[in-house]
Formats: sequence, C-alpha cells, structure tokens
Amino acid sequence: MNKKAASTLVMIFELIAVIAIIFILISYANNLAGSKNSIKVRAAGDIQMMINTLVGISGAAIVEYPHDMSNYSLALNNKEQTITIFETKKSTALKTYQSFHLPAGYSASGAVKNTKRVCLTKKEKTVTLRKCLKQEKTTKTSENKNQ
Amino acid sequence: MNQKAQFEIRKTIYWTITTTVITIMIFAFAMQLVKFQKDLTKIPPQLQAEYTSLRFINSPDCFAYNEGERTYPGIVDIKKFKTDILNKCYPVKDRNFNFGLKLKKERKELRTTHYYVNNRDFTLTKNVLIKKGEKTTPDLLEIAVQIS
Repeated sequence: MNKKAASTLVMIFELIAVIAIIFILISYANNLAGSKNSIKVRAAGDIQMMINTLVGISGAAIVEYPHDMSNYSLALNNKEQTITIFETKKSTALKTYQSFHLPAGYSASGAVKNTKRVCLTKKEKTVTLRKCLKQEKTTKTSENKNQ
Repeated sequence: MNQKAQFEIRKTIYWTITTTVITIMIFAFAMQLVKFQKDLTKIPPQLQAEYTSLRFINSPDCFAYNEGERTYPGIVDIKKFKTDILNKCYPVKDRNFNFGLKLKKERKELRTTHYYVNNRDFTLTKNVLIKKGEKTTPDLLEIAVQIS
C-alpha cells in the first residue's frame, strides 16, 4: 500500500471513530436525561424521611405521598429496612434503594404497583405502605395547589 | 531504519495516545453526568437528621414522657434518658447517623454505639421540658450528629 492510500485509510478510520464516540456520548446523555432515575431517587428519599418521621410521633397517623406514582412499583423490606422503587414497565431499569431506621419492635411492610396515590400509615408499632383509599382525602396546602 | 518502519512506529504511538485520551474523555463525561444527577437528588443531611431525631423527644418508645396511653411530645422523662432506651429507640446499623445527646442543664449525656467524641459534623438543638418526679423544668437538648 502506498503512503497516500494509507493516510486516507487512517483518516477514514479516525472519522468513523470520532462519529462513534460522539454517538455513544450523546446516547448515554440522552438515556440519563430521559430516565426516571432522578424521580426514583427523590421519591425513595422522601419516603425514607416520611417513615423516619412517622416512627417519631406518638399514636396513629396516615400520610399520602404527594406525587403520582402510577409508573412505579414500591416495596418496603422490613428485614433490610429499605424502600425499593423501580419502573414497573422497564424490567431492566435500575432499582433504587434507601434505608430507614426503625426503633426496636417496630416493623414496616407493604408494596404497591402502578398506584397513583400512595399512602403510609402508622398504627401502634407498624408502618404500612399501601394504596390510598378513596375516602382518604388529601388536605392540600396553597403551595401544593400551585404546583 | 527504513521509511516503512518509521511510519509504523509513528502510527503506534499516535493510536496509543489517541485511545488513552478518548478513554479518559468518555470516563470524565460519564462521571460528570453521574455527579450532576447525584447533586440534583441530594437531600441535605441536616434535614434527614432532623427528621430522624424527632423520635427522641416525641416518641414514647424513646424519651418522651407518657402517662398510660397519653404521650407528651417535647417533654423528656428523665427516668427514660438512658443508653439502653437510646439503643432500642435508634438501633445503629451501617451507613447511619450517630447521635450524641446532651441535656444542658441536667448535664446528662448519651451516645449511640458508634459515636466518637469530639468529631461532630453538625449540631441540632431542641428546647424541651424535663419531667423529674412531679417537677417540669425547661432545658436544652443538644444533639450532636456524626455522619458515618
């Protein structure tokens, strides 16, 4: 192969490599931007704090998570003391975990799938994650209404 | 050295450098994106610790004073202010907050299992009432927080 032909080949190869890299980086950024990962992480953090708050009050209580969770599955693991959230439709999507801290003798359980309104209840020493009942109406603050 | 060998050597050096630079660039980009996403979803530890520490003064399973079924949030029962109650109220696991609790006027101090002295990340304070027999006196609960 002469020198000129070799340098043309190298140039073509470089061009292909640059295009491939640009494509990989853009698709990675697109995937990240389009994924619901941030929503899952924030929801897990919120629910973790809600559980930590619920176990810190005396008596029974019920609280609704103020976001639509109809695309997600949520589950509480009593043994590991974690909340798991994942996208129901995407089985390959990453699961998000957050751990909460229960006092001794307390338990947390429950799971919901594609539920718009998710509620957390505390009764005696049990925290339960479940679908909100129709009669459980939310009291919205003016700040909530504006969102 | 003939011209062909020189060309081959130059090519090898060029591709080694190019591959290294491209790999570093891809990793740096990926790390930047992950960092951005982490920053976006970060919850301030002060807020998490505040919610977690609510139990100390509000829950009858911690230090809150209770008479039968009725609990008095914000009133600390001095008889309950003990290490074994603290360990039941806040069992320490891995990747937790560690708390050091101090009642200023009473000069009583408790620490969770992995709390190391003089190494606090931040401090939360709560105005409380102390139930000591029939007397109720105001005090300040200082909660030193360590992030492990």
